[in-house]
Amino acid sequence: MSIGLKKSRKATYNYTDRGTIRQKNCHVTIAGYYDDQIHIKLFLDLGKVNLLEDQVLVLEALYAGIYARKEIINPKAEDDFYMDGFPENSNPSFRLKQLPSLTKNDGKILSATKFFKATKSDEEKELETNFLSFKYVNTIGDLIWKINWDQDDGMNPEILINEEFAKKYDPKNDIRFHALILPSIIKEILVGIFIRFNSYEDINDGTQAKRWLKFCDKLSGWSLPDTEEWKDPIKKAVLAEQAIQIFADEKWQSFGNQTLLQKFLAKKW
Amino acid sequence: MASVKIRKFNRSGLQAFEYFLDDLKSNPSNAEWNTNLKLKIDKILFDSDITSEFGDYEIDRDKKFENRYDFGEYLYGIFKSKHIEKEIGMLSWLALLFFDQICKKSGKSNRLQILSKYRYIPEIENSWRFYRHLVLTPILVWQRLKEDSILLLSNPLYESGDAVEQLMSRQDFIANENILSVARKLYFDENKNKLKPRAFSDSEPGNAKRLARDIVPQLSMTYDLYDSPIEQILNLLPEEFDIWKN
Repeated sequence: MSIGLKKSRKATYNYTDRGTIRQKNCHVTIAGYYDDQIHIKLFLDLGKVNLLEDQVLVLEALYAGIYARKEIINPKAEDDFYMDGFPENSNPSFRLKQLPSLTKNDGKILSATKFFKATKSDEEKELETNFLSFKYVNTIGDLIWKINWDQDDGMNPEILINEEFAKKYDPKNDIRFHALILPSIIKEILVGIFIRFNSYEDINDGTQAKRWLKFCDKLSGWSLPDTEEWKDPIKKAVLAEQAIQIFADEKWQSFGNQTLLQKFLAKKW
Repeated sequence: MASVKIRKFNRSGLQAFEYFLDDLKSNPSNAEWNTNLKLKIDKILFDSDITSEFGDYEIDRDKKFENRYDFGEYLYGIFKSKHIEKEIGMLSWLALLFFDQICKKSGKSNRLQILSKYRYIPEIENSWRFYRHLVLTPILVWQRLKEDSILLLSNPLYESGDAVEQLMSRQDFIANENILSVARKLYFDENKNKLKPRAFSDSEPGNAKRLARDIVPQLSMTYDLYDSPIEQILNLLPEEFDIWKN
């Protein structure tokens, strides 16, 4: 009748006899965002699910005053569906409710979770921060930009931008910066990664270098060098050149429903 | 009508706006609403080094608004259901465009009263502050509630309003159309087209804040309020709300 129904410790005060759906028996991940929709995956511990005839589960999502619900009549261990009205990168709160019936509903809830957030995969956690980030400094003299390879054996290259320059031109939004300077920065980073490491596996997960390669790997017409190519400096140089060419060609063009640059600046890479 | 293209601040633009606010706050004499201040504002608003066009939207910068409801309705007419919550540059630009209306004027010299920065530059990631922005909230409320927004937006533009701030922070209240209809039924005088007196007064039994803060979360534990008819919700309310039902 319930999903891991837990009698409240304060049962004395629970006059309604509403049960609790234990959090460990259900979780949600966000599989992606499409226009105004959010793609949800719901995982349930079916060993604990015992819905009686007519009973129904309802998954609710709430974000900044936006509400959506999905009714689930035949729960599966893993189910996925879309919910409307959520902007890209929104992070709704979820609540799962067990209701007596859709048709004869008297408005009562049999059991429910508290509000909870979507579970993040390790990869998502790693990609949560924007990897195209600039550090504004006054330590690089008259240079406009410089790559700092001193962090973690070169695995976390930092893009240093002259503070004076950043005051005048907003590097994240200025089209002159994107058109004239950003390609050189990207090229230096890619070439720098290729010359410092002998294989993809040499680079630790979660580092900026790994994330740069993961991003490039998504570009059409480019793929990560294979084991032999990692050993060949010329081939690696060519690959860096190719990647930068793709950036140059596609930077202002549509890439899905975003420009490549917007995609590049998005968090999910 | 002075129609202009809507623009957005870049990082330097937001900085310029912040400096502008700091200056007005630390030198109140600079905050007198006069031609000098208007020129100063125009210089920031249309500087192509720190602003750029935001889509292809036009706006009448001379339009006067009676209250936040009118303001929200006008902006909703422009953006419709577009998600603008994260457009910090554009929302801040709009705040400066209508600066003389979203700031309270005082004294003979029409000195603008400058509030905290988050009233003008939204702090989107701060769930306690995002809804305090003087431009964003009227749009968001209109997007969610349409004509029912009058319940929350009957204040002048410069007054964020205790009501809206209390209620916007209650997700189960603001997102639930059934509850909002209940609140409208209880606290809004349809004949006079305004809130009933003392609807948000803490000392009044069954006031709107008590509904949002205590009763809705309590009932939500037991009842599926998102799928309950309005009459059923009204019947579930404790006796203290009876005086508002008529």
